[in-house]
Amino acid sequence: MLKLRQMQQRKQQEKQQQSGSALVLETSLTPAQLRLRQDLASIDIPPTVLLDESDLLANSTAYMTILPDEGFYRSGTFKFSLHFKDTYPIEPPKVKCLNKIYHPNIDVSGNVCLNILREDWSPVLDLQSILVGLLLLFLEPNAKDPLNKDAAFDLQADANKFGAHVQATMRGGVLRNVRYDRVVS
Amino acid sequence: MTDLTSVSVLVLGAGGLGCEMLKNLALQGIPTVHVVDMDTIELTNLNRQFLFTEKDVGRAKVEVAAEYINSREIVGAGGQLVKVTPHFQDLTLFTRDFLAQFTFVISGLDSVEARRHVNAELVKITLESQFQKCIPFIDGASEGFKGHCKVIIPGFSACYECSLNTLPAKTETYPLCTVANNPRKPEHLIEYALMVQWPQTFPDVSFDYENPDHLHWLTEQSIDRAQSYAIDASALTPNFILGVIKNIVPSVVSTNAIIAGQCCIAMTRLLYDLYDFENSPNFSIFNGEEGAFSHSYLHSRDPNCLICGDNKQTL
Repeated sequence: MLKLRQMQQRKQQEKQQQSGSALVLETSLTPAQLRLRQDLASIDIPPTVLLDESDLLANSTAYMTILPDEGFYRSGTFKFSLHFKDTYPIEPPKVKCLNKIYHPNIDVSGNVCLNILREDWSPVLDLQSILVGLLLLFLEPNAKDPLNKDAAFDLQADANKFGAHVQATMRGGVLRNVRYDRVVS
Repeated sequence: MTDLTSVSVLVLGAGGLGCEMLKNLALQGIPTVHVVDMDTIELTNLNRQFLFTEKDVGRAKVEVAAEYINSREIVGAGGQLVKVTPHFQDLTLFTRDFLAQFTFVISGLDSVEARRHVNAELVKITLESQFQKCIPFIDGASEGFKGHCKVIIPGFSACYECSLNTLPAKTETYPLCTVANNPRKPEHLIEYALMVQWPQTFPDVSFDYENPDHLHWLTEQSIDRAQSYAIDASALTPNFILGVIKNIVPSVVSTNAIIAGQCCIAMTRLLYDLYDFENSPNFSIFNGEEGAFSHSYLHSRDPNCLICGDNKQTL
């Protein structure tokens, strides 16, 4: 172990020659929390998204609100919860839509079908990727991989009719015996 | 000549890799070995975890492993008997002072989170002591025919967190839309029952795969749905279902032997100054799926690493 101990000594001398300021170390945060903090430090939030991180330290949950300014879902307010475990970023956060909405890729229980949240997740992705992914779901709902089959069928068959359904359900209307949440003010 | 009498090693995990590591360290004559694991012995462990026998089922792995090796009375460095000390507990509860007493930490864990925790603690020990202390962390891992060995010199070479982005993500394998609307495989049915049907039916109960009632419910739901999608339901046996939800990869005993052996060789090279800190490859991978492929390479430090990087204070 002589070599390692010599290396340590060299490093100690180097440190002493540098300024005497000791390293301030963050001790209370887990590696997953540190990574989240880094995500937040570098995130670029567009005006169509609100991010609420107030519950992140206490409950590992962030809230993201999507406010689309174009497309079928324009002028709606859609709230999502993102729950992070200590496995982040090896595992993606669990994302739920907190409003009951009519959307081809989001079911009425709030489950979200977005590839990067499941099969295509990778530890190099971050909060920014999820933000962009959720925003894209509202700008370009995808009828090819449906979670709400009726909505996907409507979108494929007649985009105008689909748009009318979206507008009605966003105002809290009933469609095919399901009452949706009001998400416009 | 390096004096081994004062060398002490902490082994993390007393499973497939841990048993091999303990055997190697004891036969090498390392006088002080500690081992930590919070698991008890199950029947299915016995094919590869050779320190345990059928009569030990249900007992703490660390206690049986320590008893076995101590009972062999192996003469170690300086003529003292090799002594293994068991810790039947969650390793994340160890204090930093406890960890700081060891010469090496060698891990054969099955959890990335536990490794990240230990890695962060060992890096802190180096940095807080201003490099007076430095405990090499040798991380072994195996899954099926594959494995790796990472040699981490905290504060000097790439730490576990530096290489986190190179790990495969632990993701749900199937797209949610496929399992919901277009299931083609028995696995899709199980996934749907677990992800969607269970929370709808029992919103306040979390699924427990050790509960036979829960497993029975999952089987019934999957078989029901198999009929509507013309999927062959005969595959949906309780064992198959358990394999899918627990994501079981069968352990290969010889992979464990190779990886544990490599970890102990790495420790030996450090001990006897046969390690070139600038140029020696620090990470090795092994894949025995076709022939035997192995590769060693130098993984650089990440200057922006959240745990050991020089830039992290600026956050």
